[in-house]
Amino acid sequence: MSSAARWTRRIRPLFTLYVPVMPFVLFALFPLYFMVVTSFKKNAELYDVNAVPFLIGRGVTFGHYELLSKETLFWSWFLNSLMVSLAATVISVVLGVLAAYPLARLKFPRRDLVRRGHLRHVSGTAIASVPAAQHGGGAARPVRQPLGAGGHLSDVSRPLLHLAPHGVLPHGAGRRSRSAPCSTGATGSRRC
Amino acid sequence: MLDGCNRLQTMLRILLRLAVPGVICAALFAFTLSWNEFLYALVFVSPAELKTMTVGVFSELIRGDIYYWGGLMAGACIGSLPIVVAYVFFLDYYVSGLTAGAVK
Repeated sequence: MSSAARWTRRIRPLFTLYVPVMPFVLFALFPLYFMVVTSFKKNAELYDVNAVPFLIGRGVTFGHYELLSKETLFWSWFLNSLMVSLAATVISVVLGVLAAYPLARLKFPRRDLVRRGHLRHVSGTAIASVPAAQHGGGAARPVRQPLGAGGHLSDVSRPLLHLAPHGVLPHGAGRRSRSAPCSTGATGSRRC
Repeated sequence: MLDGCNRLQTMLRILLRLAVPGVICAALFAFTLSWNEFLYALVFVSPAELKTMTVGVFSELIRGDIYYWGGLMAGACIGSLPIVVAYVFFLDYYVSGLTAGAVK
C-alpha cells in the first residue's frame, strides 16, 4: 500500500465519522459539563447575573458538596436509591429471563399478543426487549419447535440481545430480516 | 436434549450463558430506569429519611422559591456517577461475553 493510500485510510474516518458525530457528542455532553461547572462554583459567582455562566471565573469550591453531606440526608437518600434500584433490577431481570424463554421458544395461545408489547408495560424494562424478536422477523418462522428439534439456540438469546451489534453474533438478527434474506455475515455462519 | 442436559440444565448452562450480554443489557436498562425513577417516589414517600435521591434532592434543596443551584447540581453530579460506573464496568463484561460466545 502506498503511503498516500495509507494516509487516506487513516484520515478518512476523521471526516466521515468523527467530525460529523462531534456536534451530537457536544450536544449530549454539554448539560453534564454545565452541571459539573455549576456544582463547583461559589455562590457569589453563581448568583451574579453578570458572570459568565459557562466558566468558573472566581475559584473552585466544594461547599455545595459539604452542604449536601452535612445539612441534608443525601447519603441515606443515595443508599435508598441504591437499594431500591438494585432490588428492582434483580427482580425484573429474573422475571424477564423467565419470561423470555417461553416467549421465544414455546407456542401458546395469544403469545404474539404478549410479545407485541403487553409485557413491555407490565413488567418494565427487562422484558422490554422481548418484542424485538419481531423486528428481526422472528414471527415469520412458521413452526417453532422445542430446543433440540431443529430450533435455534439463539432464538432465546435474541429477544434479549437486540441491542448487540448484530454482525458479531453467531446468528445475527440480520439473518432473518426481510430486506436481506440470505446474506452471509461477518462470521460466515449464518443460515437461511 | 442437548449433550445430555435436561431442559432445565439446557436453559441454565447453555441458553443463559449465550444470553448473558442480553441479560446484562436488560439489567443496565432496568437499573438506569429505576435509579432515575421520580414520580412514584415523589407520590408515595413522605418521611425525609426514606426518600430516594431524586426526590430528596428535589424536595429539600428547593425551598419555596429559593433554588440551591449549587447543591442541586452537586447532587445531580453524584447521582449520575453510579450509572456511569455501571456502564463502564459492564461494558467490558458485555463485550467479553459477546466474543466468548461467538464462533470465531
